[in-house]
Amino acid sequence: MTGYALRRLAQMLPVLLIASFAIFAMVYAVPGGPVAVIAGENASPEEIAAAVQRYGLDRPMVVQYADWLGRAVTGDFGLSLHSRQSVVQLIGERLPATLQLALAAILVALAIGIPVAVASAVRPQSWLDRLLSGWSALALGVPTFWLGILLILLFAVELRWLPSASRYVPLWEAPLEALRSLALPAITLGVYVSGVLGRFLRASLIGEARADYVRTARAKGVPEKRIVGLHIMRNALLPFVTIVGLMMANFIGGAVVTEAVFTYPGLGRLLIQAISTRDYPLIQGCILVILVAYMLINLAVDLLYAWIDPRIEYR
Amino acid sequence: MLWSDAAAPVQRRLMRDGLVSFLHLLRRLLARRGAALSLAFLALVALVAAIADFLPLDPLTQSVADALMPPSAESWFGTDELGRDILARVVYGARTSLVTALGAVCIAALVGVPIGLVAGFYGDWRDSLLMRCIDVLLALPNILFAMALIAVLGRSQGAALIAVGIAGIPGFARIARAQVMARRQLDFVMAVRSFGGGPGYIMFRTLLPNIMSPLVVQAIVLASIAILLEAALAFLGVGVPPPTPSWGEMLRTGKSYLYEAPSYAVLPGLVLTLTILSLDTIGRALTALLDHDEAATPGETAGDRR
Amino acid sequence: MTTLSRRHFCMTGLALAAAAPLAAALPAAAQQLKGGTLRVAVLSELANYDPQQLSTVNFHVIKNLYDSLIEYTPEGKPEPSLATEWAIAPDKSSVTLKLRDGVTFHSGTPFKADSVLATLQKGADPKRGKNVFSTMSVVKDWSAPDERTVTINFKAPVPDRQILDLLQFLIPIDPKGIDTVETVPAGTGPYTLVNRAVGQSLTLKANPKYWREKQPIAQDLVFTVFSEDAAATAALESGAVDIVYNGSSRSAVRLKAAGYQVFAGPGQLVQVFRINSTRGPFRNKSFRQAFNYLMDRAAILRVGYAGMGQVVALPWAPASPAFDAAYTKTYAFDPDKAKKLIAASGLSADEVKGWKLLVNGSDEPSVAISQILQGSLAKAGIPIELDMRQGAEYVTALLGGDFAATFGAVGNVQKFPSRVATNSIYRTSQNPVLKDPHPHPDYVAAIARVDGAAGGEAEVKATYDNLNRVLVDEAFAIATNSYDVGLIVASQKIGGVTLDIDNLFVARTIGFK
Repeated sequence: MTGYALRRLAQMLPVLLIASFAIFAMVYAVPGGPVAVIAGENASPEEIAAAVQRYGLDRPMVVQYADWLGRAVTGDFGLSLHSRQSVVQLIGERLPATLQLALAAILVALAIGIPVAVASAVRPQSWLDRLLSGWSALALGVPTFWLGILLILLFAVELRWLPSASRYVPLWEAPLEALRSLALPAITLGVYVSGVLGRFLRASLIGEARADYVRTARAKGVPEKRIVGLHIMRNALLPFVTIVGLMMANFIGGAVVTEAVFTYPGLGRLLIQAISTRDYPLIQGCILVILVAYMLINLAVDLLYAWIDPRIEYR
Repeated sequence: MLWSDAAAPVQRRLMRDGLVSFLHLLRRLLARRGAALSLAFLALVALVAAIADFLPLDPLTQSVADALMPPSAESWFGTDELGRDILARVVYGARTSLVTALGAVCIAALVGVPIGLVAGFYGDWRDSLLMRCIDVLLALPNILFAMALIAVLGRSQGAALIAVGIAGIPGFARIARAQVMARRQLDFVMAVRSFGGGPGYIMFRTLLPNIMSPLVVQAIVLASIAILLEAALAFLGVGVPPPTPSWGEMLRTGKSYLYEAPSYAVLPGLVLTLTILSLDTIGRALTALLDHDEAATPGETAGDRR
Repeated sequence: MTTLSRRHFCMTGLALAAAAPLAAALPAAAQQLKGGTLRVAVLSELANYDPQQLSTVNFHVIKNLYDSLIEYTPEGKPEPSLATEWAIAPDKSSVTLKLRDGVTFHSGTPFKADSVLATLQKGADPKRGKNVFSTMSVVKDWSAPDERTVTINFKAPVPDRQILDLLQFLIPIDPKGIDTVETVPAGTGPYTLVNRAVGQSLTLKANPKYWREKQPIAQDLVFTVFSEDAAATAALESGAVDIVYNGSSRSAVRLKAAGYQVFAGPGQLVQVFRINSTRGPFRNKSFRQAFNYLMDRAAILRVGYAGMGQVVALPWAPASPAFDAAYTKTYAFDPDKAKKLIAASGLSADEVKGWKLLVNGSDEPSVAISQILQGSLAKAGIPIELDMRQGAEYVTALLGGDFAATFGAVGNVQKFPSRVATNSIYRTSQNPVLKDPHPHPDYVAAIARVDGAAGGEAEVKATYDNLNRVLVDEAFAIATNSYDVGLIVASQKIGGVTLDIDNLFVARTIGFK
């Protein structure tokens, strides 16, 4: 299995290389450069020319890419053109915020999704199952930005219980404040994931319930609670791990809409900001982090699969 | 060519079977209450959007003096910050959404299906190469990818359509590939092959009609994702530029008037949500019917949308 | 030599749109304010710590990390700061400054003439001078007879007001840190840098060796960056911050109604419809003049800026000496007059509509007011499209002059009138939009007349009137309204807010009641 993991890691390199070059090329194709934003409205032509030269933006694209790549392999991702801060530091400040939101959302999703799935899988096609399936459909169909707006209207504008906009407060520094800030975005994102989880878990629970070993257990008179709890749940864990993993991977950069609704300082919004100001080194850094996180989480999910279910074997 | 004459009857039968089974499916779909309701709602939205020009609705005329009015008998959904009728803008916004969805599905299918067919049919280096490309597309959250693409193309309906369409390619490619892999060794494929059918003929004339049903389901699922993604892009301020009405753009502007006019963001969002739910309901009902299985597994058709 | 401590400045009435409680606005009326941690919400991430980069994004830090040579009261009266005295030569071709004693930079370096010289050097360097560079164009050279004296010589006689503007603009930088000033602040200001979390917050603490007595009042100053107005106001309402700086006019109106204090400074911006008169139908003067009447200024002010500010037809804030309310009446919204001018232009129906209106899609008011103009144009029979661009793409098009017409606010409208020429559309040479040779020589001449008027009040006034006439006649930039930038919305427990002439955020006098 170690060999497999190493091989998978090695396979990541060409994908990263292709992706980083493609992104570099794409960003350069984008109209508008970073210099106008840095220099500002009243900049003289001399000043603009000086800035272009200072940041090495007058060199050919391929040269700039090679230069960036040469530094990147040594772990130097350069400075943000806009804030002149190190890209690593900038991302390092956003990543914990993103992870905290992602984890909170997953927890909300588990808290809603598991009971929903179990309750509806116990008696498929019952009124409860239909009701809960309706919930899953609703959770999946409601756009996060609309749900976010409704939550803000209710909890911030009307009831004034929670802030309408969230900040990143580390949970271990000020737990109460962090929860207040995190509540609405985590619910918004978590509701969506609970829909995904509810559906997948229900399907796999029902699938497992029909499996031979369950029938055998039932025939042997094992109590129903034990069957559901021990046998079915354990085997349904497999697709479950996948979903949670995929969602986590996606949230690293992909929770931008929720971040935008609640003005949460996540990685996705950092990237959007970087694109908007054409901050080339920052764009490259963000995208690489998002890609690497996605691939690593995928790999972790695959390895976890093998650990949960020894029948799966990776060569 | 000889082989095509010989294969023609087989081919025609396959096509006819496809059509018959599709109509059959539609009938069974309408028998389900939820799906029928959803279909009715979508038909209403599409109809109103299509004949909007003949309705007494004007999405563009401003009247700043009547800005941010709550819903009333005169304007059912109220007015926006420039005094335009929100209902009229929702109706015309449906056009934006539906056109984007349709265009995006077409782009995704036209690119994704051939990729999936080729990858699944050959299964050799072509498969590895194409699927690696699909992996790269998948690794980047599609909303970010769409935003980057729009930054290159500029803000327009066309750009939104292309960006959403490209985001849908992996879904089609994966479904088509999986379906083809499952069928390429089956008897009827072997039969066409023995008549001398070339790879292109087998892929597009033999296999494609046979995997139509899952592809149609995928198209419906993608349509709902496309509408959502288009709205999300507009919400983030990079969708179809104003003054063209768009649901996402209305939510974006409405969000900044939450205190003054709460209904501004709520009502267009409701229509958007109902449209997405309807498409989702139909997609699931179709999947369930196709699987002949009460435990409807969304499986591969659930694309990610965040 | 005349010492200019009590000279008359033609500041035509200071209209505080938000009717700020003036008593509380003046430090003189400082009640017993308590210190503590002042938490301020800002809406932009600062670009860097260079005080010569006077862009709005840096407004909240400059006056807290640095001091300028002199300051203006909100009414425009100059006051000593790091310069204790300034004497303008009778021929108005030089100014001599006395520097304050006993001031040290944050690094411990004593404040002496060398730092002023280094600062002038940087400002005069086109590559490093940033916003100060254009103001330095009148300066010939400078010298320091001793450690506490600096003399600045001008190329030609310069109006008093312009000299004072220059001194107010000059912010001494520690010579030791001048090369790294973008990343490491190097000032004498009331606060020193503690920590910066980019995109999130900036923490400052009181400078224990600050030269102003009993200032700063608050020991700690924390700026939290909010990317959206709604987020900042929510934080204020939930008590997470004490002040919102530079929020939108619309939120200020709402919060004022909810009992918060609103302070609007004199340094307003003016929204200007910029016309690229080198292109298409805009080469036609009569067609351009039609836009004087096509602006539904009342609607623009109401939708874009919640009614805060004033409708104007010229690029001056009410605090500007060139402000003239009569123009606003003459050039009120009148589609019929506009139609007549369009007809008089002799342009065909096809010719007048063959252009797009460039819109800054990242700026909510711009999107709204561009749609208002689009509506007015449609009524006048000119259907046009909006060309919506975001962020850098818009800025690049704006500064490169790559547009037919666009809305863009201009600043420095409360200062010496020729300062308007620092904004790209109003530039008299090397204009990035109108290019060289300048297509409106009358305007260039009018600005030169303003700059050359070193005589009596009547002469100065005549040059302003002439400039105003030329501006509406040439009509390459149509002002629509003034609006507030750097608005301060504070909770009830905050007192001692000082207004800055440029609406920069001044924290040193603020404390808790």
